Formats: sequence, C-alpha cells, structure tokens
Amino acid sequence: MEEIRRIREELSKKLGEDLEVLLPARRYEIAGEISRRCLRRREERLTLTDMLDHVFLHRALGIPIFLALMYAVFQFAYSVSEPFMVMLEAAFGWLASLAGEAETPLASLWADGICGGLGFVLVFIFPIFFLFLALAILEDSGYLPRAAFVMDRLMYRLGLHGRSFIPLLLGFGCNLPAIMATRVIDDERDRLITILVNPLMSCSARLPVYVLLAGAFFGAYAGAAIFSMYVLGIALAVLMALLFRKTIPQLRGKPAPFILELPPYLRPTLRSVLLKTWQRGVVFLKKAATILFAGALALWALSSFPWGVPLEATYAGMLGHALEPLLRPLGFDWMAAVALFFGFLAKEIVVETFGILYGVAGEEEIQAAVAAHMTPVTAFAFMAFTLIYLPCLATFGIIRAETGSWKWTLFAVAYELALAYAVAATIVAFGSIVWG
Amino acid sequence: MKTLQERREESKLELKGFAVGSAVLGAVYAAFGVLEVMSVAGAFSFEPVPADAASGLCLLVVAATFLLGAKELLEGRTLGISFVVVGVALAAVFGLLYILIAVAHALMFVLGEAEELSLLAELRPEIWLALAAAAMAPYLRRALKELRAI
Repeated sequence: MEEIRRIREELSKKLGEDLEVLLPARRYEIAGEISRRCLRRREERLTLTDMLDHVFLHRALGIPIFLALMYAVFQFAYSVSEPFMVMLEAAFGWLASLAGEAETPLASLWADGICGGLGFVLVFIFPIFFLFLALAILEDSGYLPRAAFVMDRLMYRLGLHGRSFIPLLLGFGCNLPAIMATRVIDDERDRLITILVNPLMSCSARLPVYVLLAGAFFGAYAGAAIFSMYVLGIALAVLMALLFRKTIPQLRGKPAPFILELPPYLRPTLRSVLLKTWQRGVVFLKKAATILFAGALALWALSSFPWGVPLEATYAGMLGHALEPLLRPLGFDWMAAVALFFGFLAKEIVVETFGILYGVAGEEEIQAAVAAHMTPVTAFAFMAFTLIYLPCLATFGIIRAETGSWKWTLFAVAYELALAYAVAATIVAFGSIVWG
Repeated sequence: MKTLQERREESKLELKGFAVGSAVLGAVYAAFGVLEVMSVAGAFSFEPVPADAASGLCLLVVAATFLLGAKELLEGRTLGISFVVVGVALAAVFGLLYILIAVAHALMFVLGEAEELSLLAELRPEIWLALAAAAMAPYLRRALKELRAI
C-alpha cells in the first residue's frame, strides 16, 4: 500500500494534477472517443438538461437560486401547514377536556402529560411532512445533485469535501442517516470533519422548537426566522469545518477533489414523491410512539410529583433551579433549562417540556406562556442554542459508532456545547445593544 | 417549405422578442424586490407590497435570472433562453407558494384563528408577477421546440 501511495504521489507531481481528477477525466475521454467512433450522430442538439444546467450551475446565480429555493421550501413547510396544525391541536384539546379538571394524578397524566405533552409535539407532524414533501420534489427532479455541485466550489474553499454536501443536506431531515451517509466519503479526514459538523445541520426534530418560538415572537417574519436557523446551521458547519481543518493536526490538509456525475432532470412522479415523504416522515411518528411518549411520561412525573406541591417545588423544578445559574446569563429561566436538559433525549422534547411545564394546551396558549417568559432576543438565542447545543441521544450513539472513537464523540459534544453558549451569548449581547 | 437558413433567421427574431420580454420582467421583478426590502426599513409602505426582506431578496434572484437571460439573448447567444426558462420556473414556484399561503390564511380565517383576511394583502406581487411570467410559457415552449429542431 505504501508503495502504491508513493507511486500515486510521484505521478501526481509529474502530471501536475491530482490522480483523483486525472483518472476519471481520462476515463471520460476514452469513453467519448469510443462513442465518437462507434456512433453516428446527426448533430449535437441542445437538451433541456443542458439548458437548465447552464443556469442552475451558473457561477454567480447558482448559489442565490439554491438559497431562494430553500427559502421557498421552508416557507411552504411553515406557512402552509399552519391550518392543519390548528385542526389537530383542536382535536387534542377536545381529547384533553374529556378527562375534566386535572385534579387527580390520572386525569393530569391524560390532560397534561399525554394530550398536553405528546399531543402538542404530534401537531408538528405537518410542517415535518411538508418539508419532506418539498425536498422529495427537489430530489426527484434532479436538482439536488446540482445543488451539491454548486456548493462544492464554496465548500472546497471552506475546507469541506463536495461529497459532504449530500450528508449535510440529509441532516435537514435527520442527523442519524446523514452521519451514516458520510460513508460515501473516501478520505478519512473529510469524513470525520463531515461527521463532526453534521449535528449543526438543523434536523426536523428542531423544527417544532422554531415553529413554536418564531410563531410566538416573530409574527409575519416567522418563516424568515426559521429559515435563518437553517442558514445559521450551514454557516456554522462550514466555519467549524474550516477551523477544524486549520487547527486540529489529525484533520489538516486539503479536501480530496470531488467528482459527481449529474443525472438528467426528470419530472417527479407523485408516487415516488409521496413514498419518499412517507418513509421519512414516518420516522417522526415512530419516535412519537416510543421515545417521545416515554419522555412525556417521565416529564409529567417529574413535573407532577411530589403531588400537590407548586410546580417549582416538583422534581423538574428542582432540576431546573439547579441548572438555571448556568443558563441565566443567556436569559433562560429554569423551565427553559429543564427543556434543554431533556432535549438531549430528542429535540422535540424541548417543545413537549414547555407543553407540560406551562400546563396549558394548544399552540397559541403555549406561545402566550412562552412569550411571558422570554423576549424576542432570548427566544432567538434559545432557537440558536437548541440548534447547536447537543446532538440528540441517537445521534450521539451514531457518532460513536461511525468514528469508532469516544474521543471524537466527546469532542463533538464539548465543542457544540461551547459553540451554542457562545452563539447564544453573542445574540443576547448584540440584541441588548440594538434593542436595549 | 422554409429553408434552414430562413428558420434560423426567424428564430433569431423570436429570441430578440424573448430578450425584450425577459428584460421587462426582470426590471419589474427587481423593482418589486427592492420595494419589498425597502418596506422592511420603513422607507416605503403600500399594502399590496409586503414588508418582507427575505421574499424581496428572492424576487431579486428571479430578476437577476431574467436580466441575465435578456443580456445573453441580446448578445446573440441562443443558450440565453435557458435563463428565461428558469426565470419562468422560479416565478411559478414563488407564485404557487404564495397562492398556497393565501389559501392557508383563508383556512385560518375560517377556523377563527385569524382576525381578518385582506384580499389585497394576500394577492402578493409574487402571484400576479408569476401570472405575467406564465404568459410567456406557451411561446417559450414553441421556441424551445423550434430551437431543438434547427
């Protein structure tokens, strides 16, 4: 192997170009030559794929078009799903009312724990499904590989491999398969960097937190506030990749060259789009039936016992007050601290916690309760903190499995915690200066 | 029967027409994009033009697509029509998006979650600009067929 590596390096030096680039280029040259000799063509014709690529891969317009389309995707997921959320929420409100006043532990478990907690998270199934629907359309049309190609130029300069883009994009859905998808990256350093920054990509589990807070504080700009979290995630991912590449000796060096074969554009079929949407969205439903349900029960128990005492004196209150001093400089109270603590299990639990701790049902009521405990600046900082602070438990496990190292796994946790704190503190400080 | 040369000449004339149409659409999109961004800063206020910076920037991206198309077509580059095709597609994406959002707002009003529903506010520039851009679609379709036949 050492000998092969030496020969490769010598050849690369001699030819003045990386073999990863030269070999496929030569392969395409030979294939082209064979096709020219064997096939007789009337003339080269302009295909629709050529025309669309002329624009979507344009040096100046490619990235703005990608960002504009992503903005449309998030606006669609947030704004169009609103009435459906309201309808499901009303259904859970009605179910909660069946138990009457939550005066006994059993009635409280039904109304506050199951309908108020789990039910409130389930309402967010709509923006999640709508997001996956829009991404499936982009994927099936053949646009997403173009987005990877367009972003490669920028990503290469920032120290990320072009092939990292697809795992990073998958991170918008769930970080778990996204981290597994880094296996397509051959270079071990590129792969490790992609794994480390992948949790910064805002997965769908964080969307309920954004929808709740953006709806409560940013009104007509809620869609833009949510979009800004995704942009922040991407920006931090590339910045951290650059920083790791420059500062960590094991990760130093240039990213390997990226070669990607672009498929032709196709008209997405309804069946394929719906199937993809369902396959990805059902993960959330499964999660709701398992970890979110268990989380709702645990949180309800912690916030209800000892039975009959005020909320602040419950076990959840004690935990929150123990954590509060750490988060107080960011403007987060003890309830926010409990929400973030349990958010490590699954990010949706952050919203579930608010539903249970505030003891009110319905998005509007919870939004009003949150608005009484936060300012728009602290809410934005909280959204950023939720985006960055920790990968969820399952992602933590997959980082350990894919890196095969506790050192890198703990490093991911440590840097994300520090980064979350720094970013949230910056937002709070900047917000205080600008808005007083 | 027209000769190949005649068809090429005709197609050149048609491309000039697209260049003009694309330039006009680009200019209108740019104007509304700027107005939407300016409205956020409070420099401008008019109900049919929402104060929405992100959406305004998206309109500017559509404008840039149309204007680049116009530039390439005026320079005689046939491939410039690609920008017009993508411009119309982007206009359709944003038009459809805001139609869906208007329907969602109407549903919210019916559900009693919204206090008022203003048709003027819902009929955002993205919607009627998309309709204007869509008027170009049948001509584009024909021109593309011609181009691929020549």
